Amino acid sequence: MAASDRRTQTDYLVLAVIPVGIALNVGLGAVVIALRLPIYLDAVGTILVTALMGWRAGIAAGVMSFLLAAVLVSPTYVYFVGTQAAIAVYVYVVCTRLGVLKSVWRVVVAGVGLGIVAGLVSAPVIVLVFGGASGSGRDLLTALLVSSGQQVLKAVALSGAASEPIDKTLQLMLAWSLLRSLPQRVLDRFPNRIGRSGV
Amino acid sequence: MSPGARGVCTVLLIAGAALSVDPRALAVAWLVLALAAASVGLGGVIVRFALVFIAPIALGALLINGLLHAPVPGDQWWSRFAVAAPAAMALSLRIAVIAAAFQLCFLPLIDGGRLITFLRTWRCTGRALVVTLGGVTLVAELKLRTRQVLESRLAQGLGAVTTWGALRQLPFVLLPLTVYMLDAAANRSDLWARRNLVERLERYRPSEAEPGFGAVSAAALVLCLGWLGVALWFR
Repeated sequence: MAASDRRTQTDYLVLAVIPVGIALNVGLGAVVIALRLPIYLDAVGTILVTALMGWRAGIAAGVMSFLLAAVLVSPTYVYFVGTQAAIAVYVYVVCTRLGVLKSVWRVVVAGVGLGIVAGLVSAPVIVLVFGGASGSGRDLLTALLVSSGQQVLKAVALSGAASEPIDKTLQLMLAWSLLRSLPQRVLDRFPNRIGRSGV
Repeated sequence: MSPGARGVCTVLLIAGAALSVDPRALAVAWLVLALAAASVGLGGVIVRFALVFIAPIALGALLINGLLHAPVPGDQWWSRFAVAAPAAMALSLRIAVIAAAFQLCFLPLIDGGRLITFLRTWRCTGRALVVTLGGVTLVAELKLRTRQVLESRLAQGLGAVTTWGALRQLPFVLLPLTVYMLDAAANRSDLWARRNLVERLERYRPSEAEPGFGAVSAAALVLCLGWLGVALWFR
């Protein structure tokens, strides 16, 4: 196969895998609702696409999925496209530089870090667009911090950094367990995936 | 409505909502949008969204904004929340109006399959068009497959009773879905590469005629411009 053909093949693979990430990010809401789970599962697709195709594809999957979720689920998603981009970049960096996908403990630690990053990136949006409210139980923690004299931005950032790590650790662990469980036949279709030694 | 007018109307509606600070103007705008949505069968979506997503945000905003105001000595304890109520209402109504505009603009396109015409009118072509259309198609397919997997597990007596049980089931529910979707994506990419999909999509002409700029588009544009004017007037 010529180099240009291989490149075309890879380009089309990226084009075909990004919609999978979009569908996983948006559609897993149906699984969460069906199983009545208290988590979001809105970044599993971004994490999987980043691990399989790299950070550019991860950002595309994350951003596009939130634009689509804004139409199909809730228009408030559109404000958090930056968080998805940050998740893709973070996952790419920790997977390539720190070899996070090699053990479950590394995944847990990286998941906590991912939650803190997501909480910090979301905080300015929550303050500017929603006045500090997120419409979840997290608001009680924010209110508690505000009543103790903290500034709204700091209160939102702290409440995010406290509540997001649980959700994001679960999502990163879920994505990791899915990657590990994928049959070799499927994994072989993604020769440029990151963390190959770990998955 | 023509795709061009639809996009411009959405931008005008969102700009008006973003600029407006008056809760009464925002409430009227939301009501008008809800009625317009009801006329195309989307009223339930708009109202459900307001109840499920906006109401909790309004409560949270009231709580946080109320706590930001110092209580007046000798006043009732709730006076600080009464002071914060207009700002919290304006904030949540603003989000509700933006959301309603978004839903009214895009949901009929997805349900009616006119998305490709709209996207191309707004210069979303080539790879971006492939990814967007692929995403829309796969979300619907994933929901269908999810239901199938969950029902088959339920039929085998593997339904979860507790939250912890459901959490432990998650990888087993997701694995067949993920394997299927990634495998299908790899096969699809081969097919797309062979058929040169991006170029073919550029040449594709929908069989349904594109709606032109008619009376409905003109009326919608006038209304949206009027809304922008009201929002600027009340600032």
